[in-house]
Amino acid sequence: MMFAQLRDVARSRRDTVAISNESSNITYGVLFDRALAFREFFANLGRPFVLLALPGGPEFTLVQLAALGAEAIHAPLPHKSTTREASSVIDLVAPDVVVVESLQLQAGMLSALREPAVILSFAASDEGSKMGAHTVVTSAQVERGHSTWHTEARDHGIPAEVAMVQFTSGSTGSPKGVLLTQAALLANLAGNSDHLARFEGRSVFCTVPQFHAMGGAVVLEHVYAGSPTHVTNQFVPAEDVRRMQASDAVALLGSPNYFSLALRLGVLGAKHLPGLRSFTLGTAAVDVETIRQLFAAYPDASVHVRYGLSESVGALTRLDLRAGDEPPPPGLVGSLVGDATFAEALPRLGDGEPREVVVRSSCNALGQLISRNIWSPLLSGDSRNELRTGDCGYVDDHGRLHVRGRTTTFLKVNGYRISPFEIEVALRAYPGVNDVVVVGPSDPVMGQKIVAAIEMHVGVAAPTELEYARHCQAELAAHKRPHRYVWFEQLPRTHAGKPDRNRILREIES
Amino acid sequence: MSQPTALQIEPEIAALVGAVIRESTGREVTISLSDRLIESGLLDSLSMVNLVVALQAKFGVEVDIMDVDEQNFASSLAIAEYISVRR
Repeated sequence: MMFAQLRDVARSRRDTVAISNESSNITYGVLFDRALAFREFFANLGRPFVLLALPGGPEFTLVQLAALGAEAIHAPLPHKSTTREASSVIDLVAPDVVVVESLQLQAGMLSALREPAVILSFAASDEGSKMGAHTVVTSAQVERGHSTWHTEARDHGIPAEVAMVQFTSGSTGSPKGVLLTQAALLANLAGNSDHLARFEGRSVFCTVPQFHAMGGAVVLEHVYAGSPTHVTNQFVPAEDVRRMQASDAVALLGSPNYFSLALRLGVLGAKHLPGLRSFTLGTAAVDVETIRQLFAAYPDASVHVRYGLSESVGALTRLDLRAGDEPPPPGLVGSLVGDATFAEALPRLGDGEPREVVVRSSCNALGQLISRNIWSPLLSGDSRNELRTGDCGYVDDHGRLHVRGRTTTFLKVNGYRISPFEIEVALRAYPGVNDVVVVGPSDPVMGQKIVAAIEMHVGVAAPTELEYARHCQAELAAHKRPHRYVWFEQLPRTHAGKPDRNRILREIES
Repeated sequence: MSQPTALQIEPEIAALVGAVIRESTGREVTISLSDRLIESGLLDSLSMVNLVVALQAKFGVEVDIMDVDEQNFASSLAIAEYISVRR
């Protein structure tokens, strides 16, 4: 389905760049031809579970499309994941294939593997390497059609229609694997086709990582819409500008934080990037000042604000703005996209308490992996197609959604949906720590900040911030590390003896 | 009097980078000559912006955004070299 659609797109644009990153680019023709070899490789393994731990860009996309073509299951994982983060994913599912840049660069992540797997490395120097019980294969060997490996994919207890697993922070400190079907991926492309057609044949630049739910969705959306899509894996302003200039990019997609910082540095504006015409901001609270500054620099541009969740492919709503429009009030995230509808009526704006947003959409996930070989449905309702988003809100007279916070304790930091419990588990592992509570005071740039409140065992001296920060660096990816640590002699607790999160947050905010 | 060389101002730059990272992310780090600031992820997006602002204020130089790249900001010594030729 997805693969056949890619063939159609590639046919008419063989020599056009499909996707690039900091180090390489690939045309539609080469992308499709190379994907054929990888598709065969995956198909020969049965229906493998492929953990995709590459930086965003041509190789990531190539493997992703090949996995979709082979009806394998693929799951993106940040390529700089720590051993602990990789372990928490491997607790949920034993991958049959792990795709890496090189054995050396991702040695820590690979050390988390407990069962034999095929390790597919994109480093030519890894050809002939050995790694314990694992089989090491290089991308060059796959493309030569060399197939001396014989591994039968395991049964993961995942429904047959699932094509992709999007890992997301769970509410218990462990990640959840959201189960997405090809039908949902295709529905997202169809639901956005009118909007995406405006960019057909024109370059777009995406600064959201491809392993992230929004980054992954927008890259596929634009590649399939025939837009050369340029992605970046790190914030290096001059290089972003040079690549946008060289590709004549007309659209920039990123988190509100990216736009805020780029405006502060003077990256955006007619001096360096006069060709930009469209800005898409996703997944976090949008600062009205950022939108005002974008229109001041680009009066003829359009600004698009996306609201979505990992549990549904792409955006659930989109707010389209032009210069001269009323500044959007905080929380306004726009109108439903594609075939999405509200499954439960929401109160009118300002009319009583907000209610949970429940959405019917063909893009909704089927369920989520909760432990090895066990998944649970995510959808409810009579027709089992209603997603409870965990966000509360209202609708206005135009049917647009106004979000008013969450019914759960997830943090939203720079567009990442982060479970405080996952961070707490990592921080409690430090010797002498009795308890940790992670809270998220609001921040105008990041949405929320990550602040850890720590209580040591009685009589145990607290570590220095440097010692504790080093521990966090080894245990947590950069976007999950606390921005601040606060030591409490005793954490405020409820009558039941549990840490009182609300009081802790209030004390930290004061 | 001659301007200080890159090697002479490197310790000041390393201290400034450490301070900016602490202020931006809450992480205590000690920057050494061999630390790859961008490649290792030490300088994230917010730290990068704050570092550019701090360099301009401390050394009185204009940092052109088109110079903020992997070469000029690779390490504390690379930044010191960039600053020393612009003072």
